[in-house]
Amino acid sequence: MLGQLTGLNLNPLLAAIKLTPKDKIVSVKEVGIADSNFIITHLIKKIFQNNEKLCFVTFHNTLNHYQIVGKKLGYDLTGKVTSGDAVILDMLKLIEENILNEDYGFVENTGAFIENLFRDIEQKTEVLANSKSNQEHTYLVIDDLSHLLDLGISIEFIIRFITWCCNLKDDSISVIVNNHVSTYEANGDLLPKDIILSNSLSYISDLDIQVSPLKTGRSNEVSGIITLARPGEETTELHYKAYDRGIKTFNPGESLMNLLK
Amino acid sequence: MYGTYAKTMLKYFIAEGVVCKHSIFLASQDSSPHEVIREIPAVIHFDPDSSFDFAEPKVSDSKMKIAFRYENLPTHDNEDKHINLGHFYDLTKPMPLADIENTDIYYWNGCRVENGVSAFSNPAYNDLLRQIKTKIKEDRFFLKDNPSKKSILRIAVHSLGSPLWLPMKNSLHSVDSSKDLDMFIFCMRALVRSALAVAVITIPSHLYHENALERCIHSSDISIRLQSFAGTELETNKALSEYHGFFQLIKLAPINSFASKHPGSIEYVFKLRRKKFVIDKLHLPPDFEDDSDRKKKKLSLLDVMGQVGSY
Repeated sequence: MLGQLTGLNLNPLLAAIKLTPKDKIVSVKEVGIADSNFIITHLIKKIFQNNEKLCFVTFHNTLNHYQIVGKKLGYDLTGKVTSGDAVILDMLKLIEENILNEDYGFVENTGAFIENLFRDIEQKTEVLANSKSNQEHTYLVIDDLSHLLDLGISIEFIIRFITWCCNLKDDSISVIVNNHVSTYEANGDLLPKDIILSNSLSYISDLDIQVSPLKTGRSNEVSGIITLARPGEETTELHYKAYDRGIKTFNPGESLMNLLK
Repeated sequence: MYGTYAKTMLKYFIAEGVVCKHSIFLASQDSSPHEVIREIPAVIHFDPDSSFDFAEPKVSDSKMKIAFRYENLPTHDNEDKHINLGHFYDLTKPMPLADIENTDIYYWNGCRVENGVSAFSNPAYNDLLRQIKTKIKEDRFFLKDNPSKKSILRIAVHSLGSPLWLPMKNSLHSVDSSKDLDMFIFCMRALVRSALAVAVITIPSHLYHENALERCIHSSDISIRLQSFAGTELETNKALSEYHGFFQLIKLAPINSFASKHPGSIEYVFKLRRKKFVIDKLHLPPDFEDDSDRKKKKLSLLDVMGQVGSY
């Protein structure tokens, strides 16, 4: 069964998401203790499957993680980097390298940090755009944007950064942004920053994917809930179960059928 | 409360490092790191008071008359297999000084922190990060160094975010803000993920707003909450009287995989015994007391009904 899940054309998760080049902005919201990393890795599979280009900005996991998970899904990320189909901006590495630097680039001047990051992205996507044929599409994937809040960058700068990314010169660029929100309630009139960021992303997105834990706690049969929403369309809700090598999706209530099999 | 249980777990983590001859980076502002290291437990070669038999579950000899379907089923879950991982320790005996002296241990107590310009409102966070990175760099623990001897650096940080880590006087951040903590844990993630190192950080979470540590949990790979029963209504709960608190595995991130190894809905409890720190699965006892209560209530209800009937 899982063999089918990782197959090239029969992936049920990708079939449910139905990513098209028309989806210019895709927001992936990770709620609480749920882990939405599999959505990003599956979307990358789809990008490579369609022979499209990828600019990948990583804040949350190491390249080694993405490489191992990518291999399980049937693509070779480092191979794609070597062949010029993908470029990676490893932000975890950049932060680690900055720790002993006297000027601490990212914390002294958060505005300059954001501008430098965008300039890097702009330059990399231009290189990708120059190397592709006319029909190919480029995807900018950011995993995950909310870590910019941890670095002390203000919400205004982050929203400005996303606006720049969404208005990159090349029209054939789509942006996929992963972001994490906590499950806590708003305290008084002020919304927590991660929720403001996530709401802003959902508002501008063409496809809004949310991965959340079960409302009733934990289960051995269901890992969590995926909600897919497009403006003007009905929201789809799916349950999923994560296995070591793949993801199984089913409609709410159908997991009992899997138990009986 | 007071971080006693978290400190005990941290001592186990350090003691295991000493026994396995790993390098150790020990940081603490609340109590002197030299004192903490003197309190780490000594290794012993058997479980001091093992109450579990980890052999194959025995099949009960007694015949079941009614629930005969369950007769040959094992009494424990199959997942309950004992894994020989790590060593046993005796909390009543301190680790011999000779063993400690033979281990590479770096102590950080926050005494030499310089008040430089940094993004953290308390410069101690900045200094600790730098010292950890210097240690990793000098001892060649970075993955890019491709070290010939495969050893790891154990980073133990005791009571991070306690009142001694609060923002400085002229800082713009409020006292209960976890901004420094969020940035520190994220930078630690970047540092530890690029090296052969593992960090265990204890945080006195009861000093913060209930949800203030959500970002720290997101930036960590494993998050454990020790919820003590002391001072709560659970303290007098008879079903939990044997234990000292809940051991909640909040997060177990799926690394290099899609699925987390989280055990699901199982609840764990812990107890600090004289010689060891015990973590057990929570099994609620049968509800005998309620049953007798219910009978009493039923009887009194019959009395009332009888009285009503007699009128």
